[in-house]
Amino acid sequence: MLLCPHCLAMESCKTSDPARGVHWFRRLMRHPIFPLICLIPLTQVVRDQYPVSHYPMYSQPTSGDLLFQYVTGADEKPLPITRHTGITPSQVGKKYGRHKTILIQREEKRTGQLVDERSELRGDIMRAAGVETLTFLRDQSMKRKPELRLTQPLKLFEVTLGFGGDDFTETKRLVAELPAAR
Amino acid sequence: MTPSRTQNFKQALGRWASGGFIPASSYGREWFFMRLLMALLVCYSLLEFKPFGFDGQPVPRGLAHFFDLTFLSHQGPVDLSGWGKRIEVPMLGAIRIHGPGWYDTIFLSSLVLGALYVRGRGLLVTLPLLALVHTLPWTLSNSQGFTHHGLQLVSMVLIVQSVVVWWWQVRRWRGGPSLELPLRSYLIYYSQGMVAFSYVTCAVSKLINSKGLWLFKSNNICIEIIKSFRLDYYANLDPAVAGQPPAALWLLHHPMFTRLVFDTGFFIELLAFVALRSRGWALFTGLTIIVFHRSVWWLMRLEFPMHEWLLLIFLVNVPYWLERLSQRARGPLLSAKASP
Repeated sequence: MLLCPHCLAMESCKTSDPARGVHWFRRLMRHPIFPLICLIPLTQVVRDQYPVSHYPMYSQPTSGDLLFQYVTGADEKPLPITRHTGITPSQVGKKYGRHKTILIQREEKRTGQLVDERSELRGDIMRAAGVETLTFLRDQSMKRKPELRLTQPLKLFEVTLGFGGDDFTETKRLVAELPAAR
Repeated sequence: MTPSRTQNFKQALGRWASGGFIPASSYGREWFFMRLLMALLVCYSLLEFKPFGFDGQPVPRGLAHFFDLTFLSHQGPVDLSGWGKRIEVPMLGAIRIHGPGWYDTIFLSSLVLGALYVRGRGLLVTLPLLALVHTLPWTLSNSQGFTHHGLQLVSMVLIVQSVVVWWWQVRRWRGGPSLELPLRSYLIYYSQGMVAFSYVTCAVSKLINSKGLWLFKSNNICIEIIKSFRLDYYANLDPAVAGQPPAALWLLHHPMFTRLVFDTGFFIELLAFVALRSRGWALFTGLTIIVFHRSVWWLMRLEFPMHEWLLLIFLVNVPYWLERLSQRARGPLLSAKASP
């Protein structure tokens, strides 16, 4: 017995007969495209759980500041971090941001109060997240060729990128330092 | 009473939609080339050492919530160190067959499973295993506190294909009535759908996360161009990307034009599902999104090569058009029912 190509149903198929008054959603549910449509709400619920993703890149264009991070040696000259570790600067920033968020949430849960943007505690949290990130980067570099290993003191800088009228503005600040490896 | 323009448009749209968006007849040869290129893509994306160097999963993602995947960083059952360190492959450069942890095991598994997949034998087992082999290392990589969105779609296409072959088999076991089209038509349809709907998902996320204001705020993306260039520079200190990208400043000074450019991209993503309307629409959508990706690369130095390959394999689908041209040269086209 052959099936209706529109809905894969058999004799109960009503898609080609609108006069029978089948509700549009029932018709959609029988359509081959329906499982694909279901992926949209599913990905919004599951979000970024590999391999599922809701692809949130550039989904919140803001007129506010953007942040990014880079790594330097003790002399504050940037290091080609991807060559040393295989980790891209974008991933460095995401890792640092993720650790910072976890630490802030942990602190807020402990004290029951929000961590103030300018407080000393927030600075400590940023430093801790930065050290964790730099330690991870050093560990990754140690798995590479000897000349690529990051044994020297490391610094993590954060750049604030903003709109400044006719141009863009960039200001950097030191987030964390990691002493030389023993 | 004559129907209004809106009614006419709705009717025309209804006719257009009802004439497609279903699995179509397919050629055995196009499905073979799809499998071949897909297997190469899977093996190529597993040439990367990085996922096998992570000995922790501080921010678990996906399967890492349920299993400790750090075993991938330990020595696996296969060790190819005795087989030489690298093989020179034209166009691809040096391929290293020995790496840390389970690299050798996963790479060899992908080669064997990929070969079986190309042969089209035992897909009920081969496809889920190939999907698993591709998913495990990149799940561990994405469980480090940073997300990389470049490879998800490869895993998802394999998973969707696995679901389709199992759905087909369960129907047979249950003695369900035979379908009008062969299994490969459904595999092609849902692979195309997976690729196309990932772009629709991306557009929906933009609408949700910006509370529906994305189209009005898209001019602010010009600052992301600066960020993107800076991140590219700090990766390898390439002096070619050290300065200020001139396009960013120009777009800052022309916000309406900037909106027009980025909003066009938004609609390309949102309407990507039209690829399922017919083969012609798949070709058009595939080429449009590839041009979109190339322009994003030119503007922001941001690329998704795996996505572009998937678009080329499943939407642009050159073997289908060559086969169709050769059939047309030989004689009239076969009907949907009788075509291979």
